Amino acid sequence: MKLLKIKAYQIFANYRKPMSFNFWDSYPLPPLSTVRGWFHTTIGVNQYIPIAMSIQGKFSSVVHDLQTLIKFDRKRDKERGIFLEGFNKVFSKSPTYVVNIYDISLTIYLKAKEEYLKLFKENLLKNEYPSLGRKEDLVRIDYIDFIEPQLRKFSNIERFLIKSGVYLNKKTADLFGLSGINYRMNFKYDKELLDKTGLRYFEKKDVVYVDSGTLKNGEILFDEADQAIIDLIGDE
Amino acid sequence: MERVYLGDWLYNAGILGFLNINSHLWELNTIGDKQELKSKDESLLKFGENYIEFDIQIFDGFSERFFNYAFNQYGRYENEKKNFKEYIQDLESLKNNKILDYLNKKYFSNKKENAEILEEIPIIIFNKFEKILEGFKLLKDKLGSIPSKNEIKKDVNLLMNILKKAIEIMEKDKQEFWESDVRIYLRNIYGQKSFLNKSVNTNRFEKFYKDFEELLKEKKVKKDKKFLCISCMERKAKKDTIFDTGISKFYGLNPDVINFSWNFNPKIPLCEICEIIYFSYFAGLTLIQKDGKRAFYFVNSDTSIIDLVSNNRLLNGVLKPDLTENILLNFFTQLVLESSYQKAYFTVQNISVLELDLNNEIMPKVYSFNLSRKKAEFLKESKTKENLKQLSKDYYKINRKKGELKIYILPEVISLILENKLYFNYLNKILRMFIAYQNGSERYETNISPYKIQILNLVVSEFIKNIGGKTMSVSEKEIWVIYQEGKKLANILSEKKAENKIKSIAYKLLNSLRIGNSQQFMDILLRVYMAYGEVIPSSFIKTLQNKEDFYSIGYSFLNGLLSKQNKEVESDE
Repeated sequence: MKLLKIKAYQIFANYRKPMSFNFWDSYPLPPLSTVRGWFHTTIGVNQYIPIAMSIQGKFSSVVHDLQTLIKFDRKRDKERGIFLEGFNKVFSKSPTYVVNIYDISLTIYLKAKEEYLKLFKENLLKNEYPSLGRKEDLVRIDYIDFIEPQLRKFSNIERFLIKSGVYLNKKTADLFGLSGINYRMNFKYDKELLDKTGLRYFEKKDVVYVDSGTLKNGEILFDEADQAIIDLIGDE
Repeated sequence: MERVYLGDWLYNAGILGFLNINSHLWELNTIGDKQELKSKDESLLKFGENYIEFDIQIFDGFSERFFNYAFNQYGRYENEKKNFKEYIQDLESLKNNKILDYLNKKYFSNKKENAEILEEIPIIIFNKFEKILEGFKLLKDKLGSIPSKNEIKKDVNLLMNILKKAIEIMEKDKQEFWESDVRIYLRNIYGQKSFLNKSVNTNRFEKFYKDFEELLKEKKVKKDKKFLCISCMERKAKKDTIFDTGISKFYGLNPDVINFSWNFNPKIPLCEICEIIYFSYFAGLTLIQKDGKRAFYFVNSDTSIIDLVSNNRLLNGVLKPDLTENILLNFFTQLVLESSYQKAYFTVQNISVLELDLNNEIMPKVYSFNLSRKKAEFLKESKTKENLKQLSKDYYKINRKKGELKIYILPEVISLILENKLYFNYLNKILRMFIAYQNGSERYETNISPYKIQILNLVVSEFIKNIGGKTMSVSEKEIWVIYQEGKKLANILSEKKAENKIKSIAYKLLNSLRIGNSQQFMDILLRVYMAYGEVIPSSFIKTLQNKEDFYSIGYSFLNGLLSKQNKEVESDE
């Protein structure tokens, strides 16, 4: 199996949790739907491409920042504010707490049809600037290439120590007896429902964010070069 | 069974509120240093790691519990009743000319003569009573006409009677006050949904029961044909139900702010379950009085349901007894100490506390740790935690004669850690106060012992090694060896009837430590050891190598030397 491995760095990023409107909360690492969306936009397709991924990374700290967000508002007073013709709304400003994850080193493994992965690799630095999270969360690509991961067995004698954050399938986490933060994370939305309702309804995945722990018994994909476990989440 | 997963912060507050409203169904137990949520009836309520699961029958009696919770949280009814009773008592003691001193102090801070007290208190009470009635329309209407100020001046009994009548009415018509107060309270929070609508004037409880409880438990909710719930994305949406200002006035989402939602579509359909969860969020908040105003706090801890429950309990416990500006620091301190060892570093980093002013549509204030990963690792380490725990009861007081200032050492240490400012100079300050207090100083008081200062020394040394980026070669074992050397010297001095010298030596050592002069420090030591014919311990060689080692060793020795003076210390060890 060939995987596309991307190593990247971000100074600041907000991986916004859904439904957080007046306090922009963040996931610790980019969530599945964000990476999936990144992949799809980069290769510029308009149909769904099956994909699975492993997202890992380490950050220095979490900072709560106060930012001014521009929001659209009802027209109340003709004199004030900038009027938006097409929307029949005005601009208004609103201070909001935004969580910023700081100093993030990411490693992402992607599994999809090879032709698409090649296209992704080709296009990544071509299309505009790469960003992950919000549009303004720039990402510096340090490495992008194909790798061939190996299955690796861990035991009581040969253990693996998790030292940086990683999203694991709930099943994998349970299998290895690892605990962390349980997220029910958006993965992909239902196109049919979108066409019918104008809303995006997401298929969700149960993932566990783990950033410390020991793997003792079991088999898992392994990246020798970076000494990292790979647990692909997404389409089979 | 319906499943409800942790989500955005308001939803999490809703889950906690829902659990609080149904608090008869579960309990939080502490087993060792772990906490456990236990359901009392698993056919009604179950706990998962990041979800709760409940049977629809949980809604049996929900309306009443919901109303009771809001009624108690608002607390006006009981408060005013208590106030009225107190007024009556004060008026009675006025009549009997009893304990006027007490009234003088209570109403005038001891500034009035007896005659003035007798005359003015009824008016003051009357004014207060009138002011309460202004905001208490239901009671005012029921009381009908009340005597005028002039009538009360002539006859205090009139005031007493009307107060008694007020209490009587409140007790007789409690049900009505209950309904009315809940509506007033929740309308401030939610706007005008269901029974809170202005057009509903009677039978509000009935309305709530019919709109929610009955529909839910009898599964009669009308569903939307087209939409699913956008919150859970699983259940069908409830007909004509969207997330709007009727669920939260301040959440930032309303039909106007279309750029806040995907594809400019702010229409967010909800199912009946997610709706009632959101609708319960008020009960997940902790209410406190801050600067004379109500403020609500909520800890958004989304690691697991149990963390959500226990961390909010913890905040509640910290907030209740003693309200100072440091409450949140105190909370974070407790949190660091209580979060169990196995937890992810992210947990400690990720906790945020939200402060809400529900009466205004102002955005919430968010407080958090801003902890770096390294610091989180340091705080989470079990040894650091054990050491910090030992300091939990230690304090110092400054200027204890005049308006004293009592400062707990632990929150101060945590705060210094958070600000990257924990260094040996803090030890110097504490030791200085300790010595001053031992010498009978009136300016300082402290209950810390040299042994505890030594624990503090360990924390400082570890912090500098791990976070401060300084290299230190002295080990924990060496630190304790030197501490013992200090004790030994103190013993020698007392055997040779030179105990009184300890203080002056300690002061000199403390001063050389303050300015970081290791030569002076060694000089003092050499003289002392030589004077009593003893050999200076070889471990001191390290003090000359680098500054941090010198401080760490120097303070250890000093703590050991001083520990002799403090008898209770021995039992600590």
